[in-house]
Parts: sequence; C-alpha cells; structure tokens
Amino acid sequence: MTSGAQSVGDLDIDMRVTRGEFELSAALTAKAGQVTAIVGPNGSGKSTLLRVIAGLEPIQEGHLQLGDRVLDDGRTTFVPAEKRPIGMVFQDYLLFPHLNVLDNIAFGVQSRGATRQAARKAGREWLADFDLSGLASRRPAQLSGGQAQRVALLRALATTPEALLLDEPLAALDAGTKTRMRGELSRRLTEFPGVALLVTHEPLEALVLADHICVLEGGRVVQSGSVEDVAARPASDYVAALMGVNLLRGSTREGRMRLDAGGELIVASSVEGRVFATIRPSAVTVHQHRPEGSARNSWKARVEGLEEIGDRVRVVFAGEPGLLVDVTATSVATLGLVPGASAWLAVKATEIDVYPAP
Amino acid sequence: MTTGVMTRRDRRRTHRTPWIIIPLAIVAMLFLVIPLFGLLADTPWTRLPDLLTREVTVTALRLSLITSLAATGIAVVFGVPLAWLLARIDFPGRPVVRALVLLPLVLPPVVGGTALLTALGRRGIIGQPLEELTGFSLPFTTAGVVLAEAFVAMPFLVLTVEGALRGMDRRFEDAAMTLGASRMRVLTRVTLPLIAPGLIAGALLAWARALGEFGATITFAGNFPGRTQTMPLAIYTLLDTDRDAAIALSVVLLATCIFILLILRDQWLHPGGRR
Amino acid sequence: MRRSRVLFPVTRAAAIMIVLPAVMTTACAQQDDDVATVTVLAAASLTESFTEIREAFQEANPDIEVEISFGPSSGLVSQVLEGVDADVLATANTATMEQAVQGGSVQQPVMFATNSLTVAVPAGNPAGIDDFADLARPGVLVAVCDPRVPCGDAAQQVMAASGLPIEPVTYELDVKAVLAKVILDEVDAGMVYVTDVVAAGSRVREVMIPADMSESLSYPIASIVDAPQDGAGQRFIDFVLGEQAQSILAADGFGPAS
Repeated sequence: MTSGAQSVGDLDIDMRVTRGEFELSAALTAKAGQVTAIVGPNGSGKSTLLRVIAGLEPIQEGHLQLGDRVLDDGRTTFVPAEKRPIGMVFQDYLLFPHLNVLDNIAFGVQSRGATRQAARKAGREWLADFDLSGLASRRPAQLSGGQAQRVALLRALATTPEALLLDEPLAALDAGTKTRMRGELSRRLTEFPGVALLVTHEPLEALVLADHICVLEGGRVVQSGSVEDVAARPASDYVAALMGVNLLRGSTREGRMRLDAGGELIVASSVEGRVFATIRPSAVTVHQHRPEGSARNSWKARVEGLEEIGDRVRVVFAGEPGLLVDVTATSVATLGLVPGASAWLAVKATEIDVYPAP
Repeated sequence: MTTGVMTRRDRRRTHRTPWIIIPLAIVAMLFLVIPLFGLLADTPWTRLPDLLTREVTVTALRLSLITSLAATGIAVVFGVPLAWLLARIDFPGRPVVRALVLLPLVLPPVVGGTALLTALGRRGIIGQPLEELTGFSLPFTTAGVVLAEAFVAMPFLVLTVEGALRGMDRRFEDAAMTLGASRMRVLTRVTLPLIAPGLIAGALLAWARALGEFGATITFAGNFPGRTQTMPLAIYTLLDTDRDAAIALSVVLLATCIFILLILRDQWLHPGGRR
Repeated sequence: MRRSRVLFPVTRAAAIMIVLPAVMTTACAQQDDDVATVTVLAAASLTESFTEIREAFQEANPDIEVEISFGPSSGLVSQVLEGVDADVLATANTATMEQAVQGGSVQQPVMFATNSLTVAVPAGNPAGIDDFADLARPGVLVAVCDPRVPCGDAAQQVMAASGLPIEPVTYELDVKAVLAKVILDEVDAGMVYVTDVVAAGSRVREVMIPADMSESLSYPIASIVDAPQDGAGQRFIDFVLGEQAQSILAADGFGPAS
C-alpha cells in the first residue's frame, strides 16, 4: 500500500445551508477510524450534506473542520473541493468514461502533483493490492457493477485522503452482488484510518458497515448514536421503520402506558411520564380468539395489509394500537389473515421496551 | 395503398409510416440531390487535371484552405469560451446575448459583410482607431477574409458546443474536483474530452461554412487573386467566362464538403443521445 | 379507416393546389391580353437611367408593362444563352453582346449610348487624389471591376495605356460594388463609369482620366430571339433610341451612340 503516515483528525460540522426553500441545519462529529452512517428519507438533505463536506458547495453559517484545519467557516475561509483531503465515492461511481481503469485511478494522484508515470505506478500498486490488476486497461463501460464499485473506491483511496465520503455506494448493485460487496466494503472501511461517512437508506447496510449512525430528517439531525442505541431507542417513526421495529408514543403511570394513538398497554418499566415504546414485530403473537396465557396485553385488531419478507410474512394491523407483526406463511393461512379480517394480538409486558421520550 | 401481399420485412419497415410521407420524402431527396448530379454530369472530367492545376484554381484552393482552417481555429479558440459563458453562467440578458450571437446564422452574408465594414472597415468604429494607431486595416487583406469567414462560422460552433455542455453530466466535474483537480485541469482533462464529439461536430460544421462563404467575404475583403479570392469567389468570377474551370472548382468544393459531412457522424450532432 | 383519414385531406389539398393556379393563370392570361409585359435584362450601370426610361415608356404605352432585371453584363449574357425568358438585352460593352450574337440568342444589336470610365474618390478625398497619376502612389487603395465584366475590361485597358504601376486591391464583381466601396470610404479611389459618378452626386468626387488613356464603351441593345413579347420588346427598343429616352440618358451622363 502506498499510504504513508497520515495525519487523521475528526470531522466536526455545525452548519446551516439554505437552498431555495430547503434548509439543512446539521451538527455532528464523525470520528477518525470509525464509519458513520448518515441515514434519512429522500429529501432529508443527505446528499447536500456530503456535497458540503466535499467542498462542492459552501455553507452559509457555521463551521466545518477536519482535524484542526478549518475547511469552511461560512465567512471568509472556504477551502475549495480540490484542495480538501477528502475523497468521495459517488452513487453511480462516475468513472471517467474516456479513461481506462488505470488512468481513472491515477487521475487523482496526478492531479495532486505526481508525474504521469509516478501516478500510473501508484495506480498499479493499488490495483494489485485490491487484486484487480487484470482490469487496468479496461474502460469503465466494460466493467461489471461490482468491479466498477471497487474501482470507484480505489480511485478515491488512491489520493490517500483523510476523510472518505460514500454516497449510497451499493445502491446501484443487484441483490447478490450487494451482499458480496457489503462484506468487502466493510473490511476496507475498517482498514481506513480516517473519517468514513456513509450515506445509505438501507438499514442492513448501516447495521453492517457503520459504527455510528446519524439520522437526518427534514434537514435536521434527529438522532445520532451507536447503531445499537439507535436501533433500541428510535427517536422517530422513520428510524423505527428503518430499524424494523414498532414505535409507540404515550405516557406511563404505575406500569400502565396510555398510548397517544389510543389504547393502553401494561408495561414492565418503571419509567414515568412521556415515553416512547418499541415492540419488535416478531414479539407479537396472533390468535383467532382472545388468548389465554402469560401475555398481559391482548386486543382485537384488523388486517390492513400483508408483505412477504424472506420466509416470513409481515402483517399490518390496525387497531388500538396498530402494529406490524411478523408471522409464518402457515399462520396466515390458519388464521385466515386477509385484508379486512380480524384477529387478536398479544404481547408480553417484558417485550415492550419503554424509554423516556427524546 | 392496395392491400396486396406484404412481406414481413415490408411490415417492419413501413409500419406506422403514413403513406404520403414516402413520395414527399422522395421528392425532397431528388430536389436536393439532382442538382449535384447535374453538376457532376457537366464536369469536364478529361480536362479536370489541367483545369485544377492552373494557377487561378490552385491559388484559390490554397487560399480557401488556409483561411477556412484559420477561421475555424478562431471559432474554436473564442467560441468555446463563449459557449461556456452561455451554458454555465447565468447573467442578466443571457437570452438576448445568445440571440445576438447566433444572428450570423440567419443573416444574409452580404449584410454580415456590410456590418463587418461598419465595425472593422477603414472607417469603422474599431477599424478607424485601429488604422490610426497601427496603420493596419483589415479590408482587402487575407486576415480580413479569415475574419469574415470566422464571423459566419463561429455561431455554428457556439451552438453545438453550448448544446454539448448543457447535455453533459456535470457530476463528472464534481468527481474530478474531489480528486484534487484544479479548475483548469477539470476543463482540459474531463470537460473537453467529454464534449469532444460535440466540439468536433461544431468545428467541422464551422469549417464547412467558412469554406463556402461568399457574400461576407467579397463585401468585406474584396476580390483579389491570391490574397482574398477564395474558391467561391473564383467560381463566381469564372462562371461566365470560363465555365469549365468554374465547374471544376465547384466539384472540388463539393467533394470537400461531402467529405466533411461524411465524417460528421450523426451521433456527434446529438450529444448524449444514442445513434 | 386510417387510410381515408389521411387520404381525404390530402386529395382535397392536391385538388386545391392544382385547380387554383389554373384558375389564376387563366384569369391573369385574360388580363395579359390587355397588358403585355416586357422583360428587359440590362447592365448594372444602366440602373438609374433605365428605371427612369421605364417610367416614361409605361406612361406613353399604358398597354405595356416593363420589368427590368439589372446585373453584370456577363451574367446577363449567360442567362440569355441558357434560354432565359426575356425579351430585350442591353449590355455595357460590345464584347459581351457579341457572345450573345454568336450564340444565336439575339437579333442584330443597335448601339444606343456610350459611357466612359472615370475615377471616383470619396467625398472628402482623404487620400488627396488630385489627378490620375496619384492612383499609382504607394499606399493608395484602388478598386476596379473584375476584368471579366465590361467595366473591368475597360479599366485594364486604361491602366495598360497609362503605363502607370497602378495596383488595385480588389476586383469587384460589378461596378456598383466598386462605387459602394468608394462611397463608404473603404478605398481611396475606384474606377467607375461617368454615369455612376453622376448618380452618386455629392457622395463622391470625380477625378478625370486623361483623354489619351480614356476608354469609351458602346452600349448595345438587342431583341432576344424567340422572345415571348416580340412586338412589345421592339417598341421598347425603339423608345430607347428615341428622343425622350436619349435625353434621359444624356442627363445621367451617358454619351450619344457612336
């Protein structure tokens, strides 16, 4: 590997950018050596955030700092993209179509001052390191999706950046390649000593690749923390849906939670006051009649929809409360779960995770 | 159209074409092509080598080549930045500027030549101070021919390159910047190669236009063998007196233009589009 | 169903396209019986004079309409040789008319005027051209006609006869173009016809060519063979040779036929 000693610092942002009617106001710190995933629905500002960090757009207010170097202070200091030690991998890779793979990789090295020969030599070393030497003289159009993705990553890494930004790096791949590439990308990101920021809308990607998650909604950071924390305590419906859990809001008193959406649940938590509660879809049982048994919570609900997820079926129930429930296909048949049908839901108090409302 | 027996190939080829299109298209094709064949039929083929080696023809040919290539060069060097300005930079009055810049495309060439005289002629707005300062004036010089040709040819280049710039994916430039390329490097290593087909098409069109220019040239630069008498001018002056020589020159010009248009592939005229 | 939708409007349009011109030509032809149109091809240097003559002729002959096309004599002769649909040809010298005669396209020409070459300089005479010899001064920009048109041919003879090292900067395609360049002050002097100087009025000044070098051109006029308006064309020619037209020509600077 051609990386020498790199000074690595954390990426610190606290900024505001307005584009037309949309305002992005975000503050986060991404630590060097960690992979931070930025997740959020479409239009939440993820791409803008990356562009600002990359230096393709200026911030209006605030500051952006990498290590102890201020890249943008919203006033007089603005380091343009070409001078920032930040590499970027784009969603559709954007490999230069008029250059072959080797020249694509050498492009950045050459742009930063190396001679053509030295740049190509470095490129060849990187290719060998990634075991892709055979692709050197191919054109981007001749690469498969997975190959292109790796070359794009290589191209960004070849300039030995201090920070690496990845914009939905696996989105353009088919399911099989995606699974394979996820593992490899995870390895490479772990090896990368600097700050790695990954934008994704796939929860699995965030879970596998990232150490830290930052949730962006409507131009604001609504939650940030380790992957486990965010999954356990989603702060918004979007995050809950992302993590695949049910999110309920309400207030508890003496072991009873009154739900905002209607209904009441018995919970095993001592937290009082305004709370959020999560229930995993697999923790809910479905019955034809009111169930006997240890579950302290049971109520009647109506089927609104069904979705196949792998070998299970996710059923959307409306009721007080309404929930997403995972059942087997057999159960669907046995219980006669069709849109409009009713059934009884049951969940143990211990399966309801309650925490103070954020 | 009678419902006779149609082969499968007929079906595929003519399916969905209203029948009236075919005869009209054939008339159009004949209209445009028959005069060219008429020219070729009238060509004194046996005398061609003799006619083409005469001094008047060789001089006109050489002058035309030199001036048209120089005019194309000017069109590229100054036209590309102008196309950039129109495509990338939003400034007040941009549509007006674009319309003015494309005016030579529709202006009668003689009008263009007269306009050039008023600006760059000996008594022109710029020409007069130029002459007083340097003693140099453009009319009646080869440089004047180059300028007249550039005047009519540049809009073609600006038009095609502006289209190419607008049609390209600018994110490639973003990618290049994140890789550390300076603005100039992005231009030369990424942008220009990506719009190369449009740029080449524009240059070829400009060259063909410059080669054929007549009205603006004679109005602005006059007619002097070896200095300002380009091929179209030579053809015109020879037409009444030495018809064979005029036709010979016409055939050469025709062949050159066909060559230019043949290498101008359709895909280059539609940047970003498929063939 | 689709066929008839296309066919009907097309046949309708075609019908209109065929019938309308037929109707119009017959209508016009009926009118043509009342008014004959004479087409005249005339050298560019006759522009002002023949336009006046046309007005006078039409007044005197209300049953005849005259249409004139002006251009370089050599070009007009080419058209006549190609068989253009015109009745009368008037050129600026005998050499070009001779081509038409040899081609069998015109009947016996008659001389109707003469013109001579002179030098025109811009109104302010910025280059200070005072006599013909000044044209040979280094740095003086001189415009002449291309040798293949009568004006240019005459200019060549004048320059040869003078023995002066006059080097024109441009050989314009017709005499009006030379005049235009002089008026615009883009050249210091131009060799044009006396009639052009008269027509340009105060926009140019004249510098005479010495008599021993001067060239005079005879203007012939002829009836085109197989012309559509034979009789009317001849009437026009007779008018041009008549007193009224001749005085118009004289006023414009032409000399009498020699």
